[in-house]
Amino acid sequence: MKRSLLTIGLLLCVQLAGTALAGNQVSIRLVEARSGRPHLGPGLADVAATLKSTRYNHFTLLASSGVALPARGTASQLGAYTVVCSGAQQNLQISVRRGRKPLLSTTWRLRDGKPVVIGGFPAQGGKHILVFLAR
Amino acid sequence: MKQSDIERALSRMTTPPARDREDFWSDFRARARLHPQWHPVRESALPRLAPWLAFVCTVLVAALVLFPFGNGESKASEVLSVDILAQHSGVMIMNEEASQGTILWVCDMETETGGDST
Repeated sequence: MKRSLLTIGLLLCVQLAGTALAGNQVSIRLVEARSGRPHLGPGLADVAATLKSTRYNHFTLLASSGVALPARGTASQLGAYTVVCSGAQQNLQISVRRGRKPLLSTTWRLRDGKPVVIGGFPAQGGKHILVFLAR
Repeated sequence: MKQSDIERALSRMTTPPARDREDFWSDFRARARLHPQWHPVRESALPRLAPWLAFVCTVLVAALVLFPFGNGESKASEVLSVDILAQHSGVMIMNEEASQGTILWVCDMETETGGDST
């Protein structure tokens, strides 16, 4: 009986560890933000509150991508922007460049379901925003 | 007490009557039956439950280690470092309460194409 209990316990631990280490994914979205008539394009409902905290109220999803965590220097192309992610969710390095021009490099501790908005990239009539969301 | 008193007391004492061997042992057995000489030891439940307790503890510890409670999952994402490589006038970091989003906003960033300020 002890042996069977030990086996069940080990299996459960392995399953828990597998679930914990399965790794999340971070979604990356390129959003165009403008002032004007309030609008929230499709695919942005889950980050609407955060987007509306900016001074813009018209949001359109331009491109999206996903990176498995931990990221291994994966480059994602979103419109004119190249986003390179590397590292674990607790220490995720994000580099953004537009064409060949590096714009910023930042490190984040991403939490599940808590969006990160990196913005202020100039765009015609507004701004381009990158939205990161780990799940 | 005097010697004579002791002798007198001893003389009053009578030796018990000699008993038959069978009679003695049958009496002994009868008396012994009146009081149970062996009580079953009440077995503790702990030894039987020990494997289960160990199992439950293992699972709980594993769950706590792998899914710690109150480790800040309710907190927003945190910015650890920022390095703006393009020209800009300022950086703002804001937290939005409703969905606990974090905003890193670069003001007046200069890229190849222009845009409105802030």
